[in-house]
Amino acid sequence: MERATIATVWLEGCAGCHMSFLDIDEVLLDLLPRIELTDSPITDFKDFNFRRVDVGIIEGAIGNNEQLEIARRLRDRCKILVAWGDCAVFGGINTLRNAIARADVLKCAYIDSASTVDGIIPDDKELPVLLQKTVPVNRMVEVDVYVPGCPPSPEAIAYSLTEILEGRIPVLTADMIHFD
Amino acid sequence: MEKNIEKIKITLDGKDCRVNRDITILEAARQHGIYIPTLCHHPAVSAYGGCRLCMVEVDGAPRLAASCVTPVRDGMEVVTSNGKIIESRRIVLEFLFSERNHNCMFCGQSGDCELQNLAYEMQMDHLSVFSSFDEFPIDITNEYMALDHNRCILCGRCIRACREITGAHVLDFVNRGAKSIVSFDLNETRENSTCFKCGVCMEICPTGAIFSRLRPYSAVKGHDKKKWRKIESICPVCGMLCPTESIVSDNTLLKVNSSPLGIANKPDGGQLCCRGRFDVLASTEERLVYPMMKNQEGNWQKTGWKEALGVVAERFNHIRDSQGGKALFGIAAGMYANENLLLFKELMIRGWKAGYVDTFDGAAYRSFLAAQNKADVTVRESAFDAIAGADAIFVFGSDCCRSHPIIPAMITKSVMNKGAKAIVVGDEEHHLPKVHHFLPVPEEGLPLLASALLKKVLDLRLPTAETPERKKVRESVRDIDPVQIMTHLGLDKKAIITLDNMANLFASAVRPMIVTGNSGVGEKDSRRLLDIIRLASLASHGDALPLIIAKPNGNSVAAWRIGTSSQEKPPKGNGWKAGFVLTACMEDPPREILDGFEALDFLVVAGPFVPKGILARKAEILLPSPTWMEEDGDYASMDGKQVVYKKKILDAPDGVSDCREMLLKLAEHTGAIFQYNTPDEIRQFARQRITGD
Repeated sequence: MERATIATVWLEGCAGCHMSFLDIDEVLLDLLPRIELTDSPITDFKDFNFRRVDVGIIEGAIGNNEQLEIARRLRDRCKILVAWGDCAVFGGINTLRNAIARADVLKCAYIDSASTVDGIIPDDKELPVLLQKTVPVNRMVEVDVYVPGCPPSPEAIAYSLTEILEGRIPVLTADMIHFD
Repeated sequence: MEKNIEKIKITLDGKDCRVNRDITILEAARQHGIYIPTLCHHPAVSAYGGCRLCMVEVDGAPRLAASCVTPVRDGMEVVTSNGKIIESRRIVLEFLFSERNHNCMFCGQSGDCELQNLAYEMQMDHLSVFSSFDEFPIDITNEYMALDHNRCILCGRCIRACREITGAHVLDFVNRGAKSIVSFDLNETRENSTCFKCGVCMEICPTGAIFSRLRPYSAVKGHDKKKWRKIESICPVCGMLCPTESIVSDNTLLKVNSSPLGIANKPDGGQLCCRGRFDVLASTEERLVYPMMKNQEGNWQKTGWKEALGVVAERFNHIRDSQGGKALFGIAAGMYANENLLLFKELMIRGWKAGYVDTFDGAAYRSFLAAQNKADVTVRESAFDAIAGADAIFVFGSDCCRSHPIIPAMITKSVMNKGAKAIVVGDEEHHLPKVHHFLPVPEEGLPLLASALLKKVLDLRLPTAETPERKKVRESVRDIDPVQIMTHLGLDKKAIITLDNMANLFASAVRPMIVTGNSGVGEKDSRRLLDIIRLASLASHGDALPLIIAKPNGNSVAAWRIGTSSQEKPPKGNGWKAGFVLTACMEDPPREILDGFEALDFLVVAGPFVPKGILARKAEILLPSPTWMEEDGDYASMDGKQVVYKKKILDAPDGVSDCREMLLKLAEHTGAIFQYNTPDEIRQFARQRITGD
């Protein structure tokens, strides 16, 4: 069988979901011969032009215009889009900033934080700009498979990937869903 | 056959069921083991029909019905689950999640949340309606509980519990629509409101909106809650012996729950107060976990049990044999179980012939005895559930409301639900939201005011016949001038009218009830009790006085009846050489006892915590003992009506010996022979002393 191509990205998140993916133990040995990771923070191949892939996976919420662009591009180039973790599925801890004006968020991070002396807010034109609010992925692009959890359990990640490789769209069972 | 048990026939998911006519579809389904998810429904409070999760199909109607508020009807056909119903429930659940900011990952309630459980159960792996992310306020004014409106689903359970279970009705909705929030009083903070922090709202909240600030995040990730153990026991903190359900995981106490469903013969139907719910969780005292002995330089050194007990026995035996038992004393905390109190007394008196044995609250006992003797009546107090039947409840001294917070809760329920009148003499911290008459009197003014009120009541025409006893009471207050007393206490003319009104209310009430404290502050306390006992005897009916006396410690009554508390004051110039202190908390022994401390040659302190102050300075040996949570045992209720067995909730830390075993081992060293040795024998013997059977 031809290997399924998979691209994963890490948007506004902590990499915990990718860690959980690496934590799936022996299942990884079953999966690896059947997949090819094209672009992923794990392989450090970060070409966000993405060649066409079978499965796109997003970890993290969408909080700035770069993340939005990556999410749209990945959606465009993959057949099945998976949202990994609470940030991608619900917005997660990043949404704490949604109650605060964007200027105040930046001031808080770059000037007022306890470890900062004489801080400045970076304003290079190359830098991405914060969106009004941090939002879950399905608010911006269509998502096919949801794997919530902070991080999702290795079992949930292994199950959902295996199901996709078997040609099914997985829905996690109650015991595999958790939001914490 | 009575009409109300007439059955009707309904069909639940194609199954014929015979059910009572006066129940809802939800109740019928639960009786027949059919599951319907709910959130705003709770069996302890009235139905509300607000969350729309319990929707079912009735007689094939296109509109679903909320099963928790739809009564059954003869021949009704109900479908509790099909594609349409599941879809409806799921979208409702998504609305509930998206309405506010439900972020399980940083919610202290995660893993112990009904909203979350339903999401898991319905496999809600994402939201198709999006949150506005609008921010709602958080109330963290109270040190034990927080209210985060971001996690509130407006199910109103807390509001109904506050109204129906506690009778306080502090909580209600304010604002409208999406801006609705649960509020204390009228937009007040919890701390500044009339809330008395019983925590029933927290216990009944199905989400993390009202949560405990003590041990939050105690439910571990995902589905690991299965490790939790529930232990049903009682709370011995104040002697009301409210039933509890303690949640324990890995020998750590996570929370203490009450019985929201209610237990009829328990104080306040099985509710808990803030002390019962939070005190043990808030404790931060340092535990004593092995026996310690002071070395020659006066520094503490860890030692073994055998050695420590050997030294204690040797020193006590030596003093007993050389100078006689008069040189020995023992004092125990009135918080301990009957067994400990009995064994302590027997060890000291029979084993070491100690000249003086008392409890920390002995002074309260003596002030009660003095008042009783002077009043020349046998005081039979009312059971605490008599508060519920009273129409005028006189709180004499606000101290009892603070030491026994379930008392103001019970009074409030009578006031709010039955129209009873609450009358308070004392300071403003009585925790009663609705008071009919209030006289601000400091604690030292209470004895005088008791006399003034007694005089005023006697001056009225009383409905009951004059008796020789009443003549004596009249005689005792002949020289009392209420107006002079009021002036002396700095009260104005208005207060004098209030006193008149109070007296009138007392005389005209069908079932008056007096609730007072028993602080044990010597002579004054005794004088307060004396006139209150006299006052109560004016309204006595049946064999009990309409009087409830809040005792200072959880097991005071047992200590008094077993005789661990002394009827005599400590002797002046006591000549004590050695003493044994069995403490339960960090409290210093009473002043009367401390008089002899400086001259002591040898002091042993046994207790769960590392002592401080004079105990730490004078002690030669420290013996660790379990807390009440770590020991089972009998407790006598504050009204002395019953003895209740309390289960052990936690295991004591390694190295902490069973307190009774320690006392029995010491008793062996004394050479005394007890007629009881097994836990059962000790328990039975103590029980006989308390209940007399």
